[in-house]
Amino acid sequence: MEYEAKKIDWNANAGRQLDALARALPPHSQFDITVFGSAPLQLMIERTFLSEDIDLYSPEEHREFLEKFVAEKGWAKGQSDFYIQVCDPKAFRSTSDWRDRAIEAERHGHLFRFVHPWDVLVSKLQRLEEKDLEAFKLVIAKTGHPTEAEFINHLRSAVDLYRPKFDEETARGDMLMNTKILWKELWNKEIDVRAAIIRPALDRSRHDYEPDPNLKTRLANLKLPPK
Amino acid sequence: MLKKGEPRLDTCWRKSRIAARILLREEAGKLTPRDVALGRKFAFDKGVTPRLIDQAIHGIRGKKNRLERERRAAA
Repeated sequence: MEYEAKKIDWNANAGRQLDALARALPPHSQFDITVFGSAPLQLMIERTFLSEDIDLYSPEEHREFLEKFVAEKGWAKGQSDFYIQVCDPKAFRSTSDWRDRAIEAERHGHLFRFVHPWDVLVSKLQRLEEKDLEAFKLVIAKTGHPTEAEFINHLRSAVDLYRPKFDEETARGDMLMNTKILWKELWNKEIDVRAAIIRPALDRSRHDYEPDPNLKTRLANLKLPPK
Repeated sequence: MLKKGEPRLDTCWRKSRIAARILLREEAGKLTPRDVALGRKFAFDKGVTPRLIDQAIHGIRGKKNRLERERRAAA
């Protein structure tokens, strides 16, 4: 399934709210807004996929303004049943190349960048609550993708998410364990995460940086050629 | 432009390039006593790493190949 800007459903709840935001933002400076969480799924896959909020962030220079602006309009958390949450960019973590796949759309002079549904799924895998699992099932039921092989390959681009977390991050969940649970739920299979995802991803990134380890030994043992 | 007498900040790379040239001369059977002495010195220099030597070897070979291609194209 191709995800394109022209297929974004601006009539879905999230679409209408974002359209209102774009219309209300000051026109003199172009805002650059990244939308992640469940909203891209609602906008690109299934408009009835429920979510109570729209998670988004903007570059640091606009963040404070955007937070205040959303609150002034009454769209912030606690002010509206379908609210906009202005987040820190670090709140969204997914594959290393998610920006290359993001779908960009201009709305009333502002740039909206929607995270590709597969990259949304990767970010949800870090938590994998019941609702996150539903998101996986929805995407696969509606589009037939990602297949098991496709998602293994996709997760290799998110290998850093499998690294141990800071003690302060334990609430984010265990990505390795969640991947095993996901495989059991979706494909009724066991997965060896290290063999299928982590090692191949690390091997691929190491490939270009393996010089001949004997170069210095050769230098130490140089001998003049016989005359 | 670096002024005379100022410390250089790319000595590891420069030494590694010299080490690479020495190894290429070794392969060509053209080592000099100076090469042998310098090579042994670089073997124990922590700043001269296999990674930098390897990059330099490929760079030097690449330049040779490029010049050869250009020469052929001009002929």
